[in-house]
Amino acid sequence: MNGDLQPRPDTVQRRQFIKASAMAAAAAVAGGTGFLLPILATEPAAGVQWEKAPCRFCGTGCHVQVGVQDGKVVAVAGDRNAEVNKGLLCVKGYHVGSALYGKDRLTKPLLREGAQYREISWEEAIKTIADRIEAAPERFAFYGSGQWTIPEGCAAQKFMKGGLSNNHIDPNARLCMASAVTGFLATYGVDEPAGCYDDLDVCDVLIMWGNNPAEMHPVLFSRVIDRRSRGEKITLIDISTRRTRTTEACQHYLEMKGHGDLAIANGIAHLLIRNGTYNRKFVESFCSFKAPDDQNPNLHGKPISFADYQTFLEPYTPEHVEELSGVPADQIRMLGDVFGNPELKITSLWCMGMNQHTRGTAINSLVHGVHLLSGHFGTPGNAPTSLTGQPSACGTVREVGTLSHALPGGRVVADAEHRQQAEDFWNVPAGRINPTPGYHTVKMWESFCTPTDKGGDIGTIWVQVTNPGQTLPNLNKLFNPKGDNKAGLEDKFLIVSDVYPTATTRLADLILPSAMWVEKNGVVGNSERRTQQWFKMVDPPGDARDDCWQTIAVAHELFKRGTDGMKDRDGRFLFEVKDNDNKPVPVWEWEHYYDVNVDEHLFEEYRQFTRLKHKDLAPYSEYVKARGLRWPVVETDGQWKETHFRFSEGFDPYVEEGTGIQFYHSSTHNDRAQIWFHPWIAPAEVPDDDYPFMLCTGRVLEHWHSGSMTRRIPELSRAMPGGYVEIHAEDAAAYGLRNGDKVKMESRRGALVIPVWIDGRGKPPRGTVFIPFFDETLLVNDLTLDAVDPFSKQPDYKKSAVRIRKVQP
Amino acid sequence: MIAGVVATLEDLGGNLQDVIDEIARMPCVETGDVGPNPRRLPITIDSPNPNALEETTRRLQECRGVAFVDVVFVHFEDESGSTTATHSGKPNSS
Amino acid sequence: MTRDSTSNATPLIAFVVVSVAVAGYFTGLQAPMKASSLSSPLTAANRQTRSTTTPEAGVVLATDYKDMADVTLARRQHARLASLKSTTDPLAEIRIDPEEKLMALHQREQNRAFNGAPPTIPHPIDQRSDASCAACHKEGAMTKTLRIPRMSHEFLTHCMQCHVENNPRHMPGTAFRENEFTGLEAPTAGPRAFPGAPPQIPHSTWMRSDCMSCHGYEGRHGIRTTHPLRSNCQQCHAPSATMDQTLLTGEPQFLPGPEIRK
Repeated sequence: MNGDLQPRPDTVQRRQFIKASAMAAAAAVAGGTGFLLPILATEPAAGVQWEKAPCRFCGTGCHVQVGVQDGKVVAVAGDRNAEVNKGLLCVKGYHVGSALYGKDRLTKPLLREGAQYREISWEEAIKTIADRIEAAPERFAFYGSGQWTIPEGCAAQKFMKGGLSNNHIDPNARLCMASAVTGFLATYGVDEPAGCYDDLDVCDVLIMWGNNPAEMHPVLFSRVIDRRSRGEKITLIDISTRRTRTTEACQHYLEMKGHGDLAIANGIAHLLIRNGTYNRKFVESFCSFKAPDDQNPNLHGKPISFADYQTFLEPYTPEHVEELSGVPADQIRMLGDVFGNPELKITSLWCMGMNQHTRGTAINSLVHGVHLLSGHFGTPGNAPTSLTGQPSACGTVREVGTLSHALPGGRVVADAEHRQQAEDFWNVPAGRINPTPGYHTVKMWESFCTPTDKGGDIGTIWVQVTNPGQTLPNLNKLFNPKGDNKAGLEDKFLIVSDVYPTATTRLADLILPSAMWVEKNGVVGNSERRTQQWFKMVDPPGDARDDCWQTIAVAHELFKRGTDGMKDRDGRFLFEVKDNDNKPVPVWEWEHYYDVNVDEHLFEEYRQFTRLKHKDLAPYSEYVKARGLRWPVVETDGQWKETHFRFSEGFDPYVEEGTGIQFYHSSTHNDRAQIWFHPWIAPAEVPDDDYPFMLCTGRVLEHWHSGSMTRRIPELSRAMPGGYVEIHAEDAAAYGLRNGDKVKMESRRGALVIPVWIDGRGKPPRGTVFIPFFDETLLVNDLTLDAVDPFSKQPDYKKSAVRIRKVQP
Repeated sequence: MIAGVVATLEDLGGNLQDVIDEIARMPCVETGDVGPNPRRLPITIDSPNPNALEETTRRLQECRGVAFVDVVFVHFEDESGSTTATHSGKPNSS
Repeated sequence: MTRDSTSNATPLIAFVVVSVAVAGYFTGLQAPMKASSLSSPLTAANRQTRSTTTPEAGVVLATDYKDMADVTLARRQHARLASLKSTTDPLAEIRIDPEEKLMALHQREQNRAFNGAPPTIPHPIDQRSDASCAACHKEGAMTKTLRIPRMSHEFLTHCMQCHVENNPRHMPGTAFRENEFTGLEAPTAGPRAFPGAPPQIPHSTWMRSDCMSCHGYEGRHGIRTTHPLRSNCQQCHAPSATMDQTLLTGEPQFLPGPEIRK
């Protein structure tokens, strides 16, 4: 550039400007403005608080991180620091935050007047309940839930059994896990699986016994199939009555008829003995044999010898098993080879297929037996793993014992020593607990739906956190009569604590709006013995209040009225809670409920119960820190250590050194587990000429059980809007049915008009149909039957006989 | 060419102001006011060509009391008047 | 029948049969293949082209006879590879346009419950198996009309566990009840240390480990990166340990500094 050219005036101005910019830039850098390295700066997504919680839905117990902004849940992420799911979730888990925000959320207590409801205050609601109980305490029943948190279950349990001396408290888990419980008791002498989810990470063979984990426990199923896609060799075997999404991922599909599982299990045991491939050493060291005592049926049965056991199994040749189950003999032999191979690590999974079964206790015992007989037990990967459906069926129902015959910590009301221990822990007067078991679920509702003068001695039921109006079997017998003006049930009173209007609130006399999930504190226990805790993060809407508070408030109202049952041994209120300065806090007043942590108080009281059956729980504060801990949690060297594999030396701190495997709660008191023989027995109802189809019911991935929460989540509702019946294409053709056509399904108990889905998500074989139960406008339980397993009292939802008729449009 | 630079000064026992005055006496150089940090001095250089700019920067660097010089802003010009401007990266952290 | 009457009857019967066949042939050609048509077959104007009942979900309407030639031609045109190919130039310069970015984010919101939720599937799927998902979504693609996004996360075996349809084929996708949930919004930009610095990643990289799935060639236009040819994104763009929930969350720790005597 040469200096000949005189700069023009505007160029001068521009240069001045540029110089000024240069100076400004230099000054900014020199002054250090605006380039602080944000090492310790706040998150870009400012204002979102993330806290941990277990997912609200299934028994897998995934941990989530909940994002709260301005007092509302705005996002959910899988918790990467959780061992259960390692950051992964399923579609329900991702959308669990939306469950709180359905527009028709219940917000005020409602009292029925004729065909309508009147909004009332909580004071009036509590008084109404107290009136009913005071008038006839022995006619009051509490219907609880496997979705109850542990403290909620503790409160109801203490209120009924330790307060009113009333054992009519039973949960909806009676309808899902009772047979698993009796199967465990019959085999090991104590409830709940010995293995844990770690088994899924190392097993070589995974067998599904009539369940659909691809949809129902998706995160657990993915744990296995993701291993396979990374190159590991894993064999998946699906034993089922219809093809499902799980089947597509399995190498072997064994299609069986209802109750075929009994024959198959016996067939495997038969082959193990015939081929000499059973684990002789394991059996001789750790097992005894039992057969049912037909004179006096109970969970102890009668002891038999190995020779007897072999004789009983003789008829169950592969060919005979094929006759009984429909599974080809070759595939039975394949299963026999699999179990006969000591090198393989075999995990069996089951859920409702084996539990909702009129021989549920038997089949549970048989599958445990097959694992014990073949020695596939006690080492990582070798596990008969019963999966739980609900998030706290284990934690609350089975461990707190909210069943009509049970007390917390694996105790029973019939045992005097157990009653005394419970009375001591609860600090209630000796003799307070009633030794007679109360009514189990089916009996409770049957009694409720029977007029008082005809022996219906349950007059009031309080339902919390469940939807019996949709989920009880045979609704026309066990629930719907409540709504029938001519049924003679005018004096019966139904109280329902829930979050949304449901098929149950439809017939309720008093509806109580409740808080859900992260609107309250909570502790739950999942399928692998893992107890998990969370804190309240957002407020419930309107006047909705915690279920636990509701129970305590009613208890206090009765206490004020002088009911002796509400006083403990020292005459003080049963639910007295003290703060850190040892002063009592009036937690029955809602304004003061969160002055202390009532959950912690109830949990610490309940913890004492857990030592008897070595299901030790750690202090509440430990669960605050962890993403759950698997019991028994034992303090070693100042640390609380969880137990991965129960009964196995080295893993379980209660196993004596040198024993290898010790079933220290053996029902025969010799550290041995029981291998049972049970014969094959036909289902309670089978298709015949009048009702030629077998009806199976179940669930779908998108909807949690009765759909009261998930159907209000748009993403889930749109994906699966409503109920349908699955039917085989050839059966459909025989009836002239096309996709979407409506059919009338009838059983001996009820009828239903429902659309057809052919070649849909599941593929039933010819002669079988399947209806999911999530749709409250299509109540499949009008059709199902209420026959129960003799020991567990659990009904069978998988086998009812129905007929089909096409409905003209 | 116009450039904005920042000189970091070191305390050699004398007055910082003397150092600043000496820099200000250099041709084509204008000093600005120091900000919160008295050792960081913003400077503009107005030189006729890139070589001169480089030379000036080097002389700045060699000034007594100057620890180092960071270039912050350079405005390129050519005869037709079209311009491009660049911001250089972060200076050495202080 | 006697031989005589048979030989007389046969040509008669043959004639009747043939003439009926011929007549039928011609009427068949002229009439549409629909039983419900009542008007004159050759008058297109007043012919009913739809059945009286509404089409059921999942049922594809049959092509009309008169349209068949055109429809086939059009379909073959569309299916030709050349007309499938995307017209977007992969090497074209990308400019950041705030409005386009907002539009892209708004589009993303339509099939997610909140930022970080698994997107719902906008097309019909095989209800039973997810073997076919990976065929398109493992690599992703762009055609003239379709944008097939690549999986933003590593290969996981069970797609349908998290991703569900938003308009299923077996029945119309309806919401049962209204819901007032408002989800976390997507960030519009990441913070920069200073003007010109590479922005930090304003979202978790969990389940979003393949940056190019959203920011690359198959990504939405408004959020595409200006420099797609650089393949090691995290070399310059820092993730957030807190949002990623790694175990290294919390303040960085240092040794105490020297204690200076006053």
